[in-house]
Amino acid sequence: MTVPIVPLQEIPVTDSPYVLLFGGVYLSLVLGIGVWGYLQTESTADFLITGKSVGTWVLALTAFSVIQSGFGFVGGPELVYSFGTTALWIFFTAPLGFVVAWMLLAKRLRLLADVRDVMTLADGMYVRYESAWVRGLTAVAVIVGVMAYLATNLAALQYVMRAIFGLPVVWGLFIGAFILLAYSTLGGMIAGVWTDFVQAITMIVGSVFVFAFALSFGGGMESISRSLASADPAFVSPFGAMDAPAATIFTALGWWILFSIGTAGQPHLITKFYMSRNLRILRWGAPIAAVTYAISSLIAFSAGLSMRAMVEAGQTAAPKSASVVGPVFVLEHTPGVVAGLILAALLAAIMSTSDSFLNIGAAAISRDLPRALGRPIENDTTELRVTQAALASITVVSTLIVYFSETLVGILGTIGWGFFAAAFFAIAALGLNWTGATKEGAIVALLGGLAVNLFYSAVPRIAETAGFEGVADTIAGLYPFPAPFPVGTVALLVTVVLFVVVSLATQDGRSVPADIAVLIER
Amino acid sequence: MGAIALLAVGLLLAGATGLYRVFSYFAALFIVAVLGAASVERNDRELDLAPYSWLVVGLGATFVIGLTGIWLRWEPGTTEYTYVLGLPASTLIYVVFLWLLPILGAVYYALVFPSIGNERVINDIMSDVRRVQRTERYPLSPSPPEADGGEPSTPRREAKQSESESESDSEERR
Repeated sequence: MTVPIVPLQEIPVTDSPYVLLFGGVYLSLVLGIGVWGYLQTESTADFLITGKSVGTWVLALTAFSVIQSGFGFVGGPELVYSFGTTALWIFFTAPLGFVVAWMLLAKRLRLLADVRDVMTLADGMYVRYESAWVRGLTAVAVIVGVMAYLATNLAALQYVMRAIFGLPVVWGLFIGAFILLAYSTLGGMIAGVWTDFVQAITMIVGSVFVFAFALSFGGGMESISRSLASADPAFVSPFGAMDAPAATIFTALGWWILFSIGTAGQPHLITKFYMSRNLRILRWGAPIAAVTYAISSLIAFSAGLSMRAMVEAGQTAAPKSASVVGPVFVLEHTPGVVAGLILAALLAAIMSTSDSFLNIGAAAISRDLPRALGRPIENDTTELRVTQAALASITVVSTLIVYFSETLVGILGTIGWGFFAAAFFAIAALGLNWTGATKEGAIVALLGGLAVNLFYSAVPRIAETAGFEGVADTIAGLYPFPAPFPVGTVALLVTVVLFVVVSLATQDGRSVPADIAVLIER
Repeated sequence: MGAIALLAVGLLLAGATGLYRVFSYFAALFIVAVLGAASVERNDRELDLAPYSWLVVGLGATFVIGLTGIWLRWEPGTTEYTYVLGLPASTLIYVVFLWLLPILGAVYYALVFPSIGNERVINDIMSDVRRVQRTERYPLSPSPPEADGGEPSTPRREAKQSESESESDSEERR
């Protein structure tokens, strides 16, 4: 999920000592965890998959944390404030996504990490399909997606740093990026999962408080609903008020598919399954992650609806921008302690999602691409150092993109959840549950997902930026669905069709590696 | 898998032709069909989805009831609502049937987990895997294959495995 960028500069700078205190404590804590993680990290396996050391609660809460990015805390209230219940089809669907990911992939991927020495998604896809092309394309898709996510997250981070510490935006960017770089490079995924754990606790506690304050602020749920219905009945209908009725319904249902099924295609989530200490750890992960996400989604639901109801009733002023509804609500309508907690949680949400992306992106550069090209790094210590260097390079490049080009950040912002869902759901979630899947099916699905996403999302944005509005209009005219219907859903469905059809057509004489077949058939 | 692909085609067609009610039921079927894929290779019969049969049936029923409830109580242009627990009744149906009840699916997964992931099942899988790996060498396979298999990995063992990986990769390149 991407974070809305530029409007975040409207987040007011607060002088609350609690905000400064919680923000300072959080940053000190992550740096401390980074140093501790460094002391625990001896090998590439430690750096990338924690040496398979993670227990039930840490696994579940890190899974929740990487999915609940800054988008949930900022974009959630914004979307609900702007369009009503339409956005709930994103946030209320995500818990179901954990069920999908766990059922289809948890056991398969964790056992795969014992059956073969896999550490990345590209490793897993390579041993499944025995194809360097699949490995290489997986790595390329990971790198593209990671750069996009990181740029948008860093762009948001700079404004959150400014809001908490009162820093100039550019200092917020560089200091925030430096702290992220420091603890991610030092502590790898060991630091990553433990900072995610801290973030999860912060977000859950904060969400419960915000929910209570938001309902109280709006005068209770029925008062909020009636106030909104009097302004626009569609606002509190099952599908919300995003667009014309039919387009809104399609958008909501498209998100329902994308954020349930698509969860099993998010590489920063599913590679966490490699990290569990043993298989038993996986058992309660899905309910813990699903319930905690459900609790955290109450922020979007309550703050967005409550603020809009009070604005419609003339009880409070409309925020300067819908994108800052969440932060403004907690700063102006909750006690300083809660506001401090929530802004620290927002900082944590952005950083914890970013560290997971950094990790998989670095591994794609240091491990997956060289191996796909037949030039693996032979020595483990060298591979670890190259991975750390790749991680630092990705951070620096993303920071420079944010610093120099708001336009490029906007283009990259078109690549997000749907991009990963389309690229990886079919080849990973279906491919690890179906012995009939072939490498040709995987390659065509990967390319098809990339093509649909880039053609309908990125190309029109690039054309507009370059002054070719006609091209963007032509592409929009070629889109056979209602305009707001998510491109990611279309790409996901197209890749499923391509994957199955091409696999069926190329099955003759093909077999799955015997050890992998044992895994798929049990 | 053919059924999943057909449902995906159905969704694309329903989306392109504007049939939103049809699209909603196809979406529900698509989601539960994908969940059913987790068992499609596990059992001998294609429609035997154990241990997830009740989960697939339960979620399917929940989605169909929820969507039908919504379509019976709401249509585009509705302006008057009956409020239940502070929400319009149709929106409450969405909240209960498409948000809250599906979360129970995660609990169901945890309850049936021992049937797919208990010690005996895992030991069986890993001993079969190691037997296969003793007869054929695969890229990235641990070296040497362990006879017992299935025990929890430790960082020390992982480090040892990583060291052996350069050997695997040399083979991979060959």
